[in-house]
Amino acid sequence: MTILCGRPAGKPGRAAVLLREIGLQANWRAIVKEHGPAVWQNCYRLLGNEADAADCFQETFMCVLELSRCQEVRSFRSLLVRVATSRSINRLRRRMRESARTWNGREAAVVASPDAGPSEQAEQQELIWRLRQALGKLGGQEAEVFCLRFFEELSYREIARELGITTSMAGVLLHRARAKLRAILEPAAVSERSEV
Amino acid sequence: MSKQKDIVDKAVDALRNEEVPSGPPEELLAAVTSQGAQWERAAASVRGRLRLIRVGRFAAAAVLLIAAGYGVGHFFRPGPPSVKQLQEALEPALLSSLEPVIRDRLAIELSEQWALALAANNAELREEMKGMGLGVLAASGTLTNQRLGELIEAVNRAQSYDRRWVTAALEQIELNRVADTKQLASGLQTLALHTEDQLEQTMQVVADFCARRQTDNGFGDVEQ
Repeated sequence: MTILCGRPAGKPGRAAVLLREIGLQANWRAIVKEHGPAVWQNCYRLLGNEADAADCFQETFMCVLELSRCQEVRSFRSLLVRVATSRSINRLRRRMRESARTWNGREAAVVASPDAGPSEQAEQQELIWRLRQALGKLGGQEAEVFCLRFFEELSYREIARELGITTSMAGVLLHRARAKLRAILEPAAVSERSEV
Repeated sequence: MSKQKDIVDKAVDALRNEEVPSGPPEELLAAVTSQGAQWERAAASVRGRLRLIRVGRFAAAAVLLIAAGYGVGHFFRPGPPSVKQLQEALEPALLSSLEPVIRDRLAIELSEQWALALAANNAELREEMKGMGLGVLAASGTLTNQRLGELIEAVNRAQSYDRRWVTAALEQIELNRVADTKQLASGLQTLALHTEDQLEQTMQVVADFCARRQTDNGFGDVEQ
């Protein structure tokens, strides 16, 4: 996983840092207010519970605050989304390591599909839970590329620019992520169907 | 394969469609905002501390270096040197190192002084030449004027002389003309007198001749 809060190689001048700090202090509240909902949605969608999402939300903003003091930020939205995705995946992975839980149906949330019946809703909740587990099992960059592509709907070029990789590399990582997710999700679904 | 694809897409769709509570909660937003301010204050204090530590380190290093330098200097301090030895030791080195430098500097200074003196002399000479030239020009102007005056006077004199001479010549010519006229008049009078005399003589001769012819030829002829 890429460490996002590292100090850059070219240290900015003192005056530049001071000016950036002054600008940042003035804008920080506005930045939090403007991009907070998107970051919250990202964290909550990937983590699935409010406590983790809140922690991840705070971590994301603190990390971005520190980053913005070290270097010029072109787009706070994309940086926040990327950091939030990365942090959420880290948290998913940690959660998976800490407790190798199995689906027990208690973590069900509401699925926004009014036509679905209770059994379908339960099935979808389980699928979501398994997807989160599977994302925790993926490599850092693969999971990140997958989330940015399917949940943030970024293009290959945008993903490549955000992660500092080539467009073709982004495509390869996405393909690998899909293959791994399929490999993880499919046997679980088959065994479940056979149990039923 | 299509099933496998479907399950990933299905899972993604399900995750996308999962209802996310609207948020973030206000208290979380406030916490993040205030944490930003706190973090800024903490970072400022840490920066101050770091600066103090850095300055302290530099000061300590400087003190250590000075102490070490003093100790080393004190330890390796030589005894008081003999002036003669020092002179003998330094003389050849100073001679070899300083002599060419002094010579060069002397040559440069001399050339500079020469250049300055030459420049000053040049300026003086130029001024003198200028004054002299002006004097010569003034004197030659006066002399030329004098000579020109003299020349004009001589020309005037020569012109008046010529004019007088011409006047005298004209008077002489007039006198000659008057004399010639008088002479011509007297000559003409003489000629007229002579001519009258000759004419009278000729008439006398003719009369004599006629009379003789009459005498020679008779009365008839004389009547004819």
